[in-house]
Amino acid sequence: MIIDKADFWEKHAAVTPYLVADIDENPESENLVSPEDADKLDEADLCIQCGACHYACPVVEINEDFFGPAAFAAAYRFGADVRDSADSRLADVNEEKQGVWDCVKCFECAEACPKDINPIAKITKLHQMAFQEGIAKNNVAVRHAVGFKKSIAKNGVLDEGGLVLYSEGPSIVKHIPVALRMFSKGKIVPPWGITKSDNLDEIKKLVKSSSTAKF
Amino acid sequence: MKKLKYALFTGCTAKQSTPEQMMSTMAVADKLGIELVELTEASCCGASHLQDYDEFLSLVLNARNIAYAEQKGLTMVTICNTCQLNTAMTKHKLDNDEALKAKVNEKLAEVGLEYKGTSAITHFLYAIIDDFGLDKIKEMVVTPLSQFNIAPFYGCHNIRPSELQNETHNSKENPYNPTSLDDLIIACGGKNVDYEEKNKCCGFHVELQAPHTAAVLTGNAIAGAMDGDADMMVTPCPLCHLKLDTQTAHASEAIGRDVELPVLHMQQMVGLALGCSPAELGLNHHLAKVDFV
Repeated sequence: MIIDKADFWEKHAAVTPYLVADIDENPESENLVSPEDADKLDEADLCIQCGACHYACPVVEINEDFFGPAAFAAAYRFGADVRDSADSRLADVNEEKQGVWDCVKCFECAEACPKDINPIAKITKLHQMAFQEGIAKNNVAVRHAVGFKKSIAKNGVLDEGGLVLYSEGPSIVKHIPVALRMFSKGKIVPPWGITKSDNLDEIKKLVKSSSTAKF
Repeated sequence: MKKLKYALFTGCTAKQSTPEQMMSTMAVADKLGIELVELTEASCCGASHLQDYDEFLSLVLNARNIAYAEQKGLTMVTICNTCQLNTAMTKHKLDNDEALKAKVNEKLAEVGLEYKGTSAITHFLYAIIDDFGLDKIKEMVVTPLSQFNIAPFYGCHNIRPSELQNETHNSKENPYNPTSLDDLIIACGGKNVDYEEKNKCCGFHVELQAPHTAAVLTGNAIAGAMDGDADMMVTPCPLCHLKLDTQTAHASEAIGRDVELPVLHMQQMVGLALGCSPAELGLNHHLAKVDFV
């Protein structure tokens, strides 16, 4: 049986799946990549484009714009290559609806991959790269990730309501009907009722000294 | 049998949006004679979101949580699939990378702690199956759930990635056909419902940024269980529970069909079979109607 992989290839093509580099047409030496730099690809270059992860992904099935795990793994493979200088790839895979922020974190792709490439690990790295390169947008998905650090720094544990407020901003109003029902069933704890972690000073100190990312 | 004793990593949800999960965990532990020592020092695991932003910080914080279980000389038990994933993933990374472990321990030393790698980490579902035993639970059932069709909803972060998950418990699980929760339903006297969505995603992690995707996944899961003639669903994950229990209006709208079922935490189902009262198990904290009791 042969399946129609048209959408797979279309999405693959959309992530600039090749090296963008100024090539010296008359090189005098090889363009070497050190073993350390090669390791950064994290075996993403072993992808055989079989599509197993793409068609195992539940988001691909629901959201036709979503690039999918194989395209993201390809984006990471070239984005992490020291020779590459593409300027829009990372931004393209960070766009809302099509990009990495709509990944549901189900690990179906990791399970399906016959080459053990672990596409979701590449998706995680693309998220991190967005912060490292300073192109993470100030949107609900990005604030949702950043909000965890803020909450942990304050309470050790998460302030669930505070996280939603920080992530959504004024759009939090759309959650009010469900929130009221949850409140009536004792499922919402106000900020002053949160049981903070014991030895919170340790957590605060570690958040300060171990943070590596900025937004 | 020697009394079972674990370090309990409650996660954040059990203390906030799913108080019934905390109540039922303690009630079931009490019935089974399991001692749970709560890790009150623990922080949030990062829930796979902090990991997108600041991976090193997430490793340090999770290593700190595990270090507290190690200090007590106990296996860490989790009651949330996502806590289980992030904690087990941290352990796997540190136990297999000496340089990374040293880097993380350099930070932990600032607060007088050390990650050694001496404590195992397992979800409460597998702790009671592996260490307590389904046969023993079966013997202790006083209210068999025999009149109910119960649809197991496994939750992604207990079954995938299977290589990592199967390091954390003896009952090996096939991610394409998991059986642990089915076996527990049967041990409690219930009839397990087999349906396509039992090992699928509930959509919780994109609830805010991709509400349509999240709602369709939730809707499909409940619809699948309803089509399998389920009287209720049961899950070991409080995040799945939140989606399936509180988001039925969005889910129904997204798939164009009214869907709702009582959704029990795994601990509540076991508790009912062992004779705990609905109040002890916090059944009054649910949004979806729980009208079978």
